[in-house]
Amino acid sequence: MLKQKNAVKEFFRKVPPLIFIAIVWIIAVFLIAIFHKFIMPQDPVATDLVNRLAPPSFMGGDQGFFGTDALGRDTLSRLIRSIYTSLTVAFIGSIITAVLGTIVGFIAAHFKGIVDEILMTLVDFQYAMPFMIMALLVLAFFGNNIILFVILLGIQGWMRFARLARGMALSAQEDGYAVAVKQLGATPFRIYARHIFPNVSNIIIVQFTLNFPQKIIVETSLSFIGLGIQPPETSLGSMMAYGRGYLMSQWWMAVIPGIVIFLTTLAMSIVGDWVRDNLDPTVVK
Amino acid sequence: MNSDLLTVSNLGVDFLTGGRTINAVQKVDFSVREKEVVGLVGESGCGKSVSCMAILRILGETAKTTGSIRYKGTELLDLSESGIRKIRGKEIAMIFQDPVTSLNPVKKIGSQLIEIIQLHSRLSSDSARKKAVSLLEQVGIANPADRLKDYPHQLSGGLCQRVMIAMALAGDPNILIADEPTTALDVTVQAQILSLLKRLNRERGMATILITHDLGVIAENVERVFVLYAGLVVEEAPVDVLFKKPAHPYTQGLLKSLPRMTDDKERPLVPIEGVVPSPENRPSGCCFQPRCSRSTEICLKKQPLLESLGSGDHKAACFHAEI
Repeated sequence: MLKQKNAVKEFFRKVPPLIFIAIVWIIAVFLIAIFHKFIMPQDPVATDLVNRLAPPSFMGGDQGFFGTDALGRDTLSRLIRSIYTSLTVAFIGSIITAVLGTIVGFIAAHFKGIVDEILMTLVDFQYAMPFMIMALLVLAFFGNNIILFVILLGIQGWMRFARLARGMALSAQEDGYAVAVKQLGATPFRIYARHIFPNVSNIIIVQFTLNFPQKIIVETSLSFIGLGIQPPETSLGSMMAYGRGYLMSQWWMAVIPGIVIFLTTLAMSIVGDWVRDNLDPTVVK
Repeated sequence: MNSDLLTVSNLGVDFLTGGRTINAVQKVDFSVREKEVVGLVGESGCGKSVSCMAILRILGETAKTTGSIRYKGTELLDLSESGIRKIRGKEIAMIFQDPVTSLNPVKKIGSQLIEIIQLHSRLSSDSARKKAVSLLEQVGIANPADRLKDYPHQLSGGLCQRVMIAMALAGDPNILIADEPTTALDVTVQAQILSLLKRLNRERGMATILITHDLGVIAENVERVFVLYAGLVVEEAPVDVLFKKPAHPYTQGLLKSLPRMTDDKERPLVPIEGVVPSPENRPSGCCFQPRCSRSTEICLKKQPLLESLGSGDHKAACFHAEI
C-alpha cells in the first residue's frame, strides 16, 4: 500500500504540470467518447423549433449549457456525440495506418531489391502528393460512405510508418536474435511478427501518438467541407461547418467545437512528444 | 569407420559489396562424421564462421556461395527456402559467439524457448513448457522453472549461452555448430560450457563442429582438426597427430608461437612473420608463401592442394609438408 502511494507520488513528481494537464484533458475526452450515451443531456438529433439559436447558459441562455443550434438541437449533446464520432473514426483510421505502414515497411525490408524499390517509390509518391487532394478525388469519384471514409483516413500518413518500420527492420534483421531464430528454422513471418516487431514497437507507438491528432484534423477538415461525416450523424468538423453560417451573430456555435479540436490535438501532440522523449533512446534531451 | 554425415567440398563464398567482390572463402573442404567433434581453427577473417553460416545459408543475399555441401546425401545449396528451413534447427543448429545479443531482449527466456520447441513439434503449451524446463536442466541451469520467467538481461553471459544451447537442442539436431561459443565468456565459464558441449555430444550422439581460434580449446575437446588460413583448409589431422607432427608450416608456426607447460622457461615464443593477406590482395601461388621460410619457386606459381600424407586422415596443402 505504502509502496503504491510512493509510486503515485513519484509519477506526479516526474510528470511536468503541463503534461499532466494535457493527460487529464485527453483522458476526459476519451471518457466522454466512451460514455457518451449516458452523459448526453438530450437526444442530439431531437429538434425544438421554438427554442432555436439559444445562447449558452453562461451568456444568459435558458436552453442548456451550450445553447441550441438553428434547428433547436442541444449543442452540448451534439458536442458530446461529435467527440465520440471524431475520436472513433480517427482512432480506427490510425490503427489502419499503423498496421498498413508497418506491414509495407517490413515487406520492403524483407524482400529488398525490386519490391523495396517499388514500395519506397510509392512512399515517396505519397509524401509528394497532398493527402487532401487525393481524399477529395476519391470521395468525389466514389461518393461518400463511412467505410470508405475510414479507409481513406487509414491511408493518411502510412508512408511515415512504412519508412520507419523499414529502417528499423533492416537493422533488426542483422541483430543476433533475428539470425539466431532464423538458423533455428523460424519462418520470416514469425521472425517479423514475434521477434522484430516487439523490439521496434516503442517507436511505432510514438509514431501512433503523433499520427492520431493529425487524423482528428484530417477528419474534421474533410467533414468541414462536407465530404466527411454526413448528417444526421455529427462530428466536430461538421459542427464547425454548420456554425460557420452563424459566425457573425451566434459565434459560439463554431467556436465551441473549434476549441475542443484545438485543445485535443494540442494535448495529444504535447503528450506524444513527451512520450517520445521518454521511450525513444535515440532522442537526446 | 563412421560414414560422413556432412561433407563440404570445394566451398567458396564471395561477398558482393559496392561493385567489388570480396572472396572470403576460397576453397574449404571438410567433413563431419556421425557423433564426431571436429574443430575448425584459424585466425580472424580466415573464413571459419562464414563457412559454417554458408552451411545453413544464413549469410544474406550479398553472399554468393559455390561448391557443394552435402548433408546425408542432400545437397543443401540446391534446396528451396522452405527445404533449408526444415534442415535449420532440426538437423543442423548453430550457436553464436555473443549469447547475449542472440536472445531477443524484449521477450522472456521461457517464451523464446517454448516458441522454438513449438516450432519443431506440435506440443501443447503445457508439454512445451515441461520440455523447456527439462532442456534447461540438461544444459545445467539451476532452478529452470524460475529462469523461464527471466529476461535475457537478468542472466549472465554463461547462462545466456546455456539458454542458446537449450534452444539449439530443442529441435534435436544431428549436428551442432558452435561458432566461438566461449569467446565472450570468462575462462571458468568457458570451461563449463565446453564440458557441457562435450557431455551433450556423448549423451545425445550429436556431432559437433567447434569453431575457435584457441588451440587449447581444440586440444582438449575435438577429435579431428581442420586448420584454415586465408579461406583455405591448409591442414587436416586427428587432434593428437596435429599437435605431435604438424605438417604445414602455418600450423607449425602457430604451435611455436604458443607457450607450453613442458617448455624450458627460457624458450622464446616465435611469432609468424608478416600479416594475413587481405581477401582483395592475395599473393600469387600459395597464400602462405610470403610468410613461409620453406617457400621455393613452385610456391610462387601454384596453390598446393590438400593432399594425404601417408596415413589417410592427415592431409596438408603444402609442397614441402613435413611428414
